[in-house]
Amino acid sequence: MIETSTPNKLSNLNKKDPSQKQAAVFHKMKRLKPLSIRKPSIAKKRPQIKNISQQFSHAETILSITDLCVYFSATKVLKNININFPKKGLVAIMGPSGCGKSTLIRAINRMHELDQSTNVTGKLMLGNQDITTLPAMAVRQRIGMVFQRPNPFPNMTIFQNVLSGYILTGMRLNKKQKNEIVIENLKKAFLWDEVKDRLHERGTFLSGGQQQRLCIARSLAMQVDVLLLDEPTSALDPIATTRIENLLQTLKKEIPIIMVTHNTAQASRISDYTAFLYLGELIEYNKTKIMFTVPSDKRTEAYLMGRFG
Amino acid sequence: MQVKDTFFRIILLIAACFAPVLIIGSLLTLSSGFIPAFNETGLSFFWSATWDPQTREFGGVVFLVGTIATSVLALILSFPFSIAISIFTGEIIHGTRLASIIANLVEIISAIPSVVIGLWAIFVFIPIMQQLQILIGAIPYGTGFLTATIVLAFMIIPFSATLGREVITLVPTHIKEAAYAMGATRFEVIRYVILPYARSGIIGGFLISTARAFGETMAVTMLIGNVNHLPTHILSPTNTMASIIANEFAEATDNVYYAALIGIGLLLLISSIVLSYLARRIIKHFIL
Repeated sequence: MIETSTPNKLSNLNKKDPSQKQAAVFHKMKRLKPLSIRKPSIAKKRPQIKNISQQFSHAETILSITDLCVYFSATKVLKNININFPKKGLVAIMGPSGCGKSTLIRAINRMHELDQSTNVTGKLMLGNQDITTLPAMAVRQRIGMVFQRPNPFPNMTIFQNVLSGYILTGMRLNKKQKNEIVIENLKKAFLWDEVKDRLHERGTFLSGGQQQRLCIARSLAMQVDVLLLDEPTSALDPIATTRIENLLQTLKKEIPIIMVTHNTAQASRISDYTAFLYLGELIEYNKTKIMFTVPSDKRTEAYLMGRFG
Repeated sequence: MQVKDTFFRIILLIAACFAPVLIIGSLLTLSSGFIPAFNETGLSFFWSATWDPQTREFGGVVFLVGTIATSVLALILSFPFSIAISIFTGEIIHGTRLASIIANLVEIISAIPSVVIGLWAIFVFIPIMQQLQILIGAIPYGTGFLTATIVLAFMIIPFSATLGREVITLVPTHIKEAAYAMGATRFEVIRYVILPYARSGIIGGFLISTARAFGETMAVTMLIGNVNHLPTHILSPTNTMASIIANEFAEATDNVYYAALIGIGLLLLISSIVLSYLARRIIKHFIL
């Protein structure tokens, strides 16, 4: 608003009264005041919405989390998280190391059940279904997860890796179905052109970025409702990272994606919504554009400016 | 620096050559020691099943068959137990106190002198076998092929179980997590991810077990019955290569008899070498 209106005002004033010109120049200078003085004015304009969850209608929500707490032994790592994830778009979860962002998405996928010292409370609704009452295996088949380190199954070929969800859970497919699933999902994961001639080689012979895309293809092949990504590019070089980001921007049109990242630039590039976690609390959750321009919380602003994290 | 390096290199070379030279040396010694008996029996030593020092008939087949049969059957018998111990302590209860207690106790089995195991078997296990044999109407020798094999199976468990547990704990967590994240159950993760990943180590463990069963002397000698006939059924007493040497070496006053026992030693060494060669082929076939 200020940007567009001030020059007009200035030119209008010039015509009318030269004495007011000074005031206008002063007004202009005010905008150039050092950050420490400017800050309160931004603070005033901070939007009141700290959590956009309530603005998603029931129909727009794919995954709804209520009062989620995670304890590692006696330590409360996640403190009453309330967050709804939309059916369309990519949600980035960011925050400094140890803030619980990985813990949050691992809780969604029930990975904490592998560790007996971890305790999870709260309610998770996937669509209309309370998934906390379902067996973990059933939940994991509906919610795909891609990890920080590319982890294709080393004893399986590329072809088998894409089908691994079916192989592991003992689902039988005929040859035609297998071929269809493999081709379709490798194409979806932008990997088909690179591996079509060597489908029956081990997946571990691929480069890191290719392996990660193979892991994405493997999750997509299960026709999951939501795709979770836990810092999917942190082990990759910049070029592989760009390819994964491009892939995610295409994929988010088809499937809701929740991605953990410690890279704020990445969150701003590809996400539609961003959640900021700090010390186990959800500090702010809003549209990425709003959050990165006018964060509503001081801590978010400090984090985005790189003062910690 | 250069001199030191060269010196170090030579030392390593000598040390590294020691084992191969030893093997070749024992092959030569055994071969030359075997010559008097070979002159007497000719090639029939390798295919005759008659061993009678009185009539100077020396054939090694009974013992060769005895060793291979006991080892293979012991391996088969120990397999489910070893693999169960490996999976249970290496994955299912890995990291708990119970896991380390079980693992340590299993390892202790390998530290028990085989003569002690043999004694235990004579006083505890053989009476049980005799009862069983009476029950099914067989001659209650107590000792015999099956008795020796069962005790042998027990003795070789720690080798395969310990190595199996080690390789199972080495399966990276991120691979297991990947499988769990695909919705696999614990059984499916073990079956399709952990066991294939740890396969080479598990097979290696069973090979060490087999080698151990091949050479096991004392306990087998005490339990197998020491009858120089091919086993007619699973309970009948028979003999192995290691047992015949241990049993008869002190009595072999006759030159040819003595040489024939050395010949059995040669046979044992050669069959062990063939076994390890085959094993390596099998590993390559399975792993690569």
